[in-house]
Formats: sequence, structure tokens, C-alpha cells
Amino acid sequence: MTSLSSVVGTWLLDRFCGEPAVAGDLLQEYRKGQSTLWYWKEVVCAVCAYSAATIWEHKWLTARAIATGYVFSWIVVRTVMRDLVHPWWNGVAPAALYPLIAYLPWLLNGWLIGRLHRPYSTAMVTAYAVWLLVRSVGPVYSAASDALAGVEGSAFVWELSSRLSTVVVMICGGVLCAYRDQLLAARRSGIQAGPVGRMSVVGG
Amino acid sequence: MTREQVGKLELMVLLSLLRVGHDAYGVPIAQEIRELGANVSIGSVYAALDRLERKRYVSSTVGDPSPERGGRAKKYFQITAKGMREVQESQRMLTSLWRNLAVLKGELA
Repeated sequence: MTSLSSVVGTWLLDRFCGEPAVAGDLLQEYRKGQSTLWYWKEVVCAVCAYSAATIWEHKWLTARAIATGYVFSWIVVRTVMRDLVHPWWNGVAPAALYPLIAYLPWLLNGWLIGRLHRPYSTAMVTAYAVWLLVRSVGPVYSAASDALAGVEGSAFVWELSSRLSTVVVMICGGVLCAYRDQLLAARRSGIQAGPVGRMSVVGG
Repeated sequence: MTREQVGKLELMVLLSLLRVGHDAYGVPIAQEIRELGANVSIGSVYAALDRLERKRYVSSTVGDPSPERGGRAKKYFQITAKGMREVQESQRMLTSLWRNLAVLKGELA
């Protein structure tokens, strides 16, 4: 029995959990009759447990990953994109298409954090994603307050969706970096990437 | 050499490992802990086993991949002599701390 849940869950565990045996154990129990809810609860717990353990054990590396992401976003997103690319883009292409390239630096940001923090790339990208979400609480809360006061409802929707999509795109960049490493490692060891692939080796 | 402390979950995992005996991997270890009343996920058991392995309290061997596990191998864990000493030391220390504790007997309630 191969369900969509098990395929997606296994894919996530291969990329975000440092222990390949976890995916096998969960698949075995799911195929023995455990519920889909149980399976997803275990997948989320496994990913959180490994990311939290890696972040806790490598606090300075986590601080460096967050600093890297912050500096990159400050230079590229706030300076290059907003002050240089955005005005130029408006002159040569439809403004509605700008969001398509506006997310590219965030994809690159996730990739860069992953690249500079191997073999803990996924945990460090997760740490930066959590930091971005924490930083978003204030602006989103402010926009929600305005929306509730009847000032501007669409601003809240825009604020929430743009911040969430930024985090998702950044994580995608990190996953791409980790996947590339997995393929290279598999090629070096002469095996196919997949079941035994290991994204972030906790504790080396 | 300083002794590395084990946390509550790590001690529970070590004791469950002893109770399961041979062929101890993530699922039976987590089941053993759940039967004792603690709600743990398989992922957190593996995270604890990973820490214990780095402290050299447990060692692991990888089994053969099987189709029902999507081609993934089981990882079997065994307690080491250092791990056994740690369990005994924890038992001795906790028993000493518990002994003659009037509050726990309800005398001061």
C-alpha cells in the first residue's frame, strides 16, 4: 500500500530528519494499520525533534545562519531589489509580473543558508524560517488590528500572504540546496538518491 | 573525565532498551515507554538515541532493507558497558535522593 500521505511524509523525512531509520519505522507502522492522523503527527514530531536537537546543539551556527539570512535579505531584498530592480522593472515590464522575480532573492537566501551551513542545512534553514515567522508577528498583528478597525482589510490579507509565501519560497531554496547535496553524495557513493538519503547529519 | 548526565527521556530510553533486549529499534522502544504511561513520538526516541550514541551509552547496527519499510533498513540499538554503568549510577543516585523523603510519604501534607 503506497498512499500519497506516505510518499509525501517519507519525502519530508528524507529531507528534514537526520535519521533515515525514522522514515522506515513510520512507514512500517502506517502499513500495519496506523491512521493517517497518527502518521502525520509522528512525521511532524520527528522533523521538529531533529531540527530542535540540531539547533540546540549548534547555537552559534544557528545564530550565524540567522545573521547570514538577515544580512543577505537586507542587502539584496531591501537595497538591490527595492531601490534598483523594482524601478527598472516598472519601466520595461508589466508591474503585475514583478512578484515573480521578487521572490527569487528569497529562494537564493534559503539556498545560501543551506549551502553555508552543511551538514546541518535543513535545521539552519528551519531556524531562519522560524525567525522570519517570529519577526512577522508584529506587522501581521498591526495589519489585523487595522482590518478589524475597518481601516483596510486587503492590507492584512496582503501582509499575511506575502510573509507566508516568503517563508515558503525561502524553505524551497534550502530544500533545493539539500537535495543537490543529496544527489552529489549519492553520485559519489555510487548509489541512487532516495530511501537512504540523509539531509542533515545530526551530530555529524 | 567528567560524567555526562542523562536526561529523563534518555534514561527512559536506556531502561526500555534493557527491557526490549535483542532487536531493539525505534518502534518497540517507543512502545515500551508508552506502555509505562509516557507519550513519546518515535522521532523523539530516535533523537534521544542519537544523543546517547554520541555519549557512547548505546551502540547501533544497521539491518537489511525490507520492502514493507520502503527499502529502508532497521537500526538496532544495544546498550554499552558505559551505558549500563550510567543506568546503575542513576538508579543509585535517585534511590538515595528518594530514601526517607517525608514529603513523598505524605507525612508533611
